[in-house]
Amino acid sequence: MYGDLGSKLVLEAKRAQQLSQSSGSDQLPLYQDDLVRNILREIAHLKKNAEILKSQQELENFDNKVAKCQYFVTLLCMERNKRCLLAYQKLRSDALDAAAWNRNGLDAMSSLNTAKDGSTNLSHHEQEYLKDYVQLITDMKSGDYTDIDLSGSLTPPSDVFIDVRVLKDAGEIQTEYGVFNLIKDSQFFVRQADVERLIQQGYLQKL
Amino acid sequence: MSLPWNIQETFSPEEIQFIVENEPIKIFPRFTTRVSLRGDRAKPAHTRWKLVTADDHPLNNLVAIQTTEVALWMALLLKQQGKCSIVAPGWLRLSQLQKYIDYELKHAERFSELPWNWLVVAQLLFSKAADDLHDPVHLLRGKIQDLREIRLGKIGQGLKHLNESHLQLDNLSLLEINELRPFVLGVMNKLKQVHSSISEERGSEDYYE
Repeated sequence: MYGDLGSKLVLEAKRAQQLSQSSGSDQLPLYQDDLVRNILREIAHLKKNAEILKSQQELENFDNKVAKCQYFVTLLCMERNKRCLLAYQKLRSDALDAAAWNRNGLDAMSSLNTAKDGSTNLSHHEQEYLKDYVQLITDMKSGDYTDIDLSGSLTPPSDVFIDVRVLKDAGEIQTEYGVFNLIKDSQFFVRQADVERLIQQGYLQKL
Repeated sequence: MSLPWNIQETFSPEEIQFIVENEPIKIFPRFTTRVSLRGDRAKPAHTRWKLVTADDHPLNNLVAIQTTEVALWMALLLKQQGKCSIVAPGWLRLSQLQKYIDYELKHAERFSELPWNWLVVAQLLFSKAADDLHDPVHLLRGKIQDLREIRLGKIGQGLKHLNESHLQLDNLSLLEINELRPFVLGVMNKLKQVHSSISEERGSEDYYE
């Protein structure tokens, strides 16, 4: 039947959503190129049907009930396919937005390449979208709200100074408030605001 | 979206704590910041508190061993450095808590009038200012736990009465509401949907008749 491919795609979307919600990571599974292509082919086929119906109607010049019904059902099938495609795409774009907010906006803005290591999982259009969206975020942050780090941590601050342990060797890292020499397994007692970015990047562990 | 999905329609417990930390609480400062009028003129100017979100007048007028009211977050910061002791709120005593427990036990369908932030304040004071409380902490902890369990039981009973229009939760604290929120909202929204679809159906039937 016409809607079956669509429901397959939606099932795929559901699986991806559960994956991201349960594991908390923003890894996206592979873009279902074949499936989407097949659905598009189906829609093109339906469209051809509709056109044929229309021309038939004009030829025979009587709009009987059967033709009307056929036309209507074809339309409904196309609607359903459209809904499935949009739902799938919206879910993926939401995940991309979340990724852009979580990691790409951090510290060095250049992290597009390193942060999205699975960038082959995205379709060409999605890659483009992600790039533009990150650009939008940076525009917003450099606009009126420069004082606030909009992509920073969302948990409210509770302690001013915290203990952190260095998890990864990172050499000497320059933050805006001074230089740290990050040697693996060393501990620091620092202001939380200074190291928040390094914690988010996974160099430091909060104690 | 910019907000992660799990905090889009509710508060996280950390945010609840953040809200509660804005409430005023009484402290005994252990140092003086009030500048006396006589003398001290020769000294260079003191550094003063300048706060944006809270009133800085009381902080610039601290006198050792004289109670003052400051925001809870400030009290906790000072307490951490041993520069003040926190005055436990009136309800955080064994006798008072026992009264609340009695009330809870006597009135099965009502919640006692604890302050809206009792759970969070109790937890914060137990962990950070345990030596300032009047009664031994382990007893207070026990009472708080009792209260919490009694109230949880009542909440469970109350959930039987979920309906599509309203719900009355007098004296339920912020944290208790917050942990209920996703469940209750989901169920009530669904009930409302079902009901409105029924009434719509009826309405359209009337219309056709």
